[in-house]
Amino acid sequence: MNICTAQALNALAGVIYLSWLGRRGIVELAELMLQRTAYARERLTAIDGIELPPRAAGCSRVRAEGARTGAAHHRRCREQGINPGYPLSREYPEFGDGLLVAITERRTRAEIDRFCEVLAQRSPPSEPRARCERELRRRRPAHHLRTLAAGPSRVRTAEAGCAGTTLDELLAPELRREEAPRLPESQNPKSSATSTGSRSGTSTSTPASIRSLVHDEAQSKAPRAHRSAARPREASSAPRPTAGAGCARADVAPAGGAREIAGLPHVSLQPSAGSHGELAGVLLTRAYHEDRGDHRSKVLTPDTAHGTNPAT
Amino acid sequence: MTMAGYDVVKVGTDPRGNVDLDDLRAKATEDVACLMLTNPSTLGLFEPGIEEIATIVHDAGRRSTTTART
Repeated sequence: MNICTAQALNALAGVIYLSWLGRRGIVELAELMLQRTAYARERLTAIDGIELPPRAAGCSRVRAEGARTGAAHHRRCREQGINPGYPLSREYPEFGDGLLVAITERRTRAEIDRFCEVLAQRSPPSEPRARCERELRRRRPAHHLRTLAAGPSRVRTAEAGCAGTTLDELLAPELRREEAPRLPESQNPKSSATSTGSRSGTSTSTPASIRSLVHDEAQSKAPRAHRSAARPREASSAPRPTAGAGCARADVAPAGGAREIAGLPHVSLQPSAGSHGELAGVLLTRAYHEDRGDHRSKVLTPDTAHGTNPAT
Repeated sequence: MTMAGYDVVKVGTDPRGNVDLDDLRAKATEDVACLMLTNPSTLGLFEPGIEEIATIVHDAGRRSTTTART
């Protein structure tokens, strides 16, 4: 795969995710990340020997400074199948023993609990437990945190949920938007905007979807917890938009502009960048030569060319 | 290795990381359908000899396809 194909696929995945979330969903996502970061802060602060820097508004990253070095924390977490974040001493000695932890919507409460539990451990895990975790990692090596969410836990989920703190406590109302962000949404933008706009009137409470999400999580068994976190929209009562219409607009509108600017009768946005374009180019070349009755057999490609290499 | 039924012929790189023009001249034969290159190249260099490269290929009565940063 060449560089632009990879880029285009990443962009496509991002567009699909944003369209899927919609105007209201993106706000909920941000709120969910704030709630979970706040919960992680609460749990981390309770651990002896870990200090957190002052809260930065809207920041979903936590820097934990411990009596142990960040690198030691990091190593122990990795040994137990958790990716704890980044030991800052590697590149930023000015932060000393800091560990940079990112809490996103993908991290469930159960996972945060497990993370804190491992950070608080004084001794290595018992052999039966270590064996069990090794076995779980062997089965699903690509998803360490998910694996642990499914694993046995000595500490049951705390009473305080991720939504124990209100949004107003996390982020001052004046820092939050009242209107839905102007993001493309393929269908039903009116109802979404209305529902987000009305939120300002009930801003002290947690949005219903986050409440239900956290509730779902608390109710469900650990192995399922990450699934509900991965689909915040599922918990929402708002209708899920269909993707087709938005994609069609995104495709047609720029072509219309390019046609007007260039004064051309038609403009196509196909082929896309990357190997799609390379293949179209070489097929066009072939059609051109064949049309002239000219039979060629070779394509020259500099060895420094990407995209046009044989991988295309 | 083939692309659309064509054989791929690799053109070398000179000591400065640009297309080796002597190698290109030697390989720009009558049975070449086109040249496909990326500019800037994978080395991140803008090809200073791009005009001469196009001339070499066009003068030989061939068609050059230039693709920008794919």
